Amino acid sequence: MKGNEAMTEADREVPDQLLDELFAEARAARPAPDAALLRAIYEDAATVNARRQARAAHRGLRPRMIGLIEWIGGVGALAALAGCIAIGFWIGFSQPVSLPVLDRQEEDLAEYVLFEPLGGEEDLTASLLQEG
Amino acid sequence: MVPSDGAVPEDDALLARYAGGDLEAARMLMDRHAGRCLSLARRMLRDETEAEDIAQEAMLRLWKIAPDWRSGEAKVSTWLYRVTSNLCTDRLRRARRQMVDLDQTAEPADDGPSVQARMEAGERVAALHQAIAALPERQRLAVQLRHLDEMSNIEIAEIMGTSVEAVESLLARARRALAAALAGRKAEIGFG
Repeated sequence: MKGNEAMTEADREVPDQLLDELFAEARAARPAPDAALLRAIYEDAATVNARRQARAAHRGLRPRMIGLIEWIGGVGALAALAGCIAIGFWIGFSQPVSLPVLDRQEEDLAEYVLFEPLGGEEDLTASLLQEG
Repeated sequence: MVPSDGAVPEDDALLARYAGGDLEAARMLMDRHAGRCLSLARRMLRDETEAEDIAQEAMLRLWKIAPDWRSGEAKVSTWLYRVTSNLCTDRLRRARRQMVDLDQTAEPADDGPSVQARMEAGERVAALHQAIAALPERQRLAVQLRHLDEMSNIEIAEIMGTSVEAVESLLARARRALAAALAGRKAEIGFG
């Protein structure tokens, strides 16, 4: 009776070895991923990589800029420097302007040279008297 | 770029190389793991298109985490499987909620042949997949990870967020259930 029960139990199950064989077959029969899926996964990898490199390049630029500003003397110094440069350019590139005061002085000087002898008014009278 | 001594690079090393811009390393990681992620998703979701979405999403998360990956803290394969499993679980929950919303509360029959079972050749393998599909969810996941993806009990415990002892218990119960389920199909599977 007990033997019959054992036989019945055995009949109701498959042995572990067979289960393991079935698992091995299932592993071997596993279908490979579709080529389109693999292409999409690889493209994702390339896209994520490109974005990461672009971000890294952007981040690499900032410390260099900050270092340069600090070397100059800070943001205030940089603003002053930029202002000076701008004024320098403005002076350098703006059209020359006429200066009437200076022009007038030149005319006056010419009159003085022509009509005012170097010796002054008294010297002129003395020389006329001598000639007369 | 394979090391000059011919050794197969570890996943951690490949991920570090990818983080440094090496796309060949990404291809190697993809060849190693995409198929397994897809298999796991297929078995959990039984929908080829959704399984492909999940596999792609899991791999995308790996690409994104690459620069922050801490070597030695977790295995890439374990991490990927956990992500895949969680993504599948989320999707199944969403699908169930939608079913409830639509007042279609009938659960899908678990014992029907899965997509994978139909796709894979051979009555024996199909019979096994049908038997696996009929297992309770956690037993099913444990047996798939252990016997189809050949992961260690420690890795399975990490993926499932449980103890190794609990995994052993799940596996023991799952094997007993499978043995009983397949006993009725001994002729089909070429036994007896």
